[in-house]
Amino acid sequence: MGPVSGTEMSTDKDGHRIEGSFVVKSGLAQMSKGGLIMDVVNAEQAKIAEEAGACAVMALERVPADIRRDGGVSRMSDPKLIKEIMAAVTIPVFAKVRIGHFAEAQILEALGVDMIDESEVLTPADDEHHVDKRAFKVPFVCGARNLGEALRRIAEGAAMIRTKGEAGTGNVVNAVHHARTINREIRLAQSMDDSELFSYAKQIQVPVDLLREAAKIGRLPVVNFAAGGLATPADVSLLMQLGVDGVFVGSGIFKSNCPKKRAHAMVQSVTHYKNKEKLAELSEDLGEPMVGINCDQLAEKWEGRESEMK
Amino acid sequence: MLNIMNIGVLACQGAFAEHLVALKHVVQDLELSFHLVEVRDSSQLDSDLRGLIIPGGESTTLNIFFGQEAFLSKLKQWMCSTNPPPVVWGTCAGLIVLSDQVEHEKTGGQLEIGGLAVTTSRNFFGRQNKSFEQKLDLLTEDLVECYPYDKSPNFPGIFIRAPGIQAIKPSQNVRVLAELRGYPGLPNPSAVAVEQGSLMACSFHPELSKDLRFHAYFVRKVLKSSLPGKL
Repeated sequence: MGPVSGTEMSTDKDGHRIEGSFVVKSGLAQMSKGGLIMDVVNAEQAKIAEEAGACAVMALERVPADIRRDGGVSRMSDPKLIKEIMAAVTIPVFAKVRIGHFAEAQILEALGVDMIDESEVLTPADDEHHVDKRAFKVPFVCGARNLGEALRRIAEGAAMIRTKGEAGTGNVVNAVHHARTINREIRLAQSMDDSELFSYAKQIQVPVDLLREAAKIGRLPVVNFAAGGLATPADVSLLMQLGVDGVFVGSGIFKSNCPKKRAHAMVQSVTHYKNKEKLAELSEDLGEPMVGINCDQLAEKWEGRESEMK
Repeated sequence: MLNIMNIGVLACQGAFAEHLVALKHVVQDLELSFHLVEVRDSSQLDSDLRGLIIPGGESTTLNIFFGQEAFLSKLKQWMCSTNPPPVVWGTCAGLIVLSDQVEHEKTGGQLEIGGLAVTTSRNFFGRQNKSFEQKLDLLTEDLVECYPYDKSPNFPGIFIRAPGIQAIKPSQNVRVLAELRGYPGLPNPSAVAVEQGSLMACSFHPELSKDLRFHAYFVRKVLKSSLPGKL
């Protein structure tokens, strides 16, 4: 897979320091590739994640499985919790904001989190518009089910994409569906000539130049991770073989009965995703995985949460 | 029959793909015949491997990988297995693991390769909100001139939660390759890329830019160390 970007530097003409450019924003995503980013709800879990080799942690008050169980409105976490997690580990700390909630994003930026996830796992705050992510210095990661959604988030300034999957279910089927859909739609774009891309862009509701870029490089123009329902080393390998650059794991680790062991195994699975023998070893004796929920039994599917003008 | 030599990028985690793409361009443009490999297993650390890049990513993640199946000791063994030794280039997290002294390791410490007589501070340049781009000064003609397409005395430095070289041990033959000017709290200018014997390291990410000269410099160094009869 080619580079996501070998980019022109964005310095000003006097050679001064530039912060928050797209190159810098997407740089953090690129350094996370081949890694596992783990949901953590407190400093102790954050330390477990760092010890297991996670390349970053996602700070939140409740893992998606618990948000699903509890119902109600879920919002950005308390800054006290986020600060505790930031102080507990030396790896990057990500945190979530509600879709469209640019004030929550401003607060997280002020706290100094390394990346913001504008997440459909929380209750959307704006039913028509997502955050204008270009206005921020902090990079954003957003969820997508398909190429159109991914490119729309990128047009808004997302520096990283993840599959939405169906978070909190321990069921990987939706993440797989989303990853495959993105792949298929990019291949479709590649099979078209220039004159056809205009109509395809209109059909999937994206700017044509972003579509053209994706078709040219054969992938999304930003780093793409899998997320939503991953629970085992095999799940990690499956998604990596489907072409994602890395994985997020939420409920799958701390809802299992041996989180440390499972975390360690899943981190190694991202590195060794092509090595069947290693994966077999890593999968052995990990204890009970999270029980999970079948997606067709869900009361509410979060993957459908995307804000748009009706 | 000439044995084709390998150049590897440690593919545990991080931006190894970009390094491979840069190396591919350089090897093609300089018309060399190295094989490029993703290194994930100590069995690949053999006498055919003449150069290795340790890419940026998280040094704590690399730390875990090093602890698996004695990878670190096999790596150290490989690094002294031939004369001249193979060339190792660390970027960002790679700089950290090659440094003799590291500040701000995670609680409990981290495994190191060492060998570079510098003191490096992890995440010196701060969190993502302090990450930045800035033009660097290249200090050696060898770097400025090593690639046909670029001759500027500057290099695009991209710093992502980067480590900072705090001190260089004098009399250890550490050569500074590139410098950063005007960063508050650091000497002005300050070393951001160094070379010592068969080791190279930088705190920024050449692989994220379009300038291939560090990669060309590294490949030429590997070539020189691979020539038969070279002492």
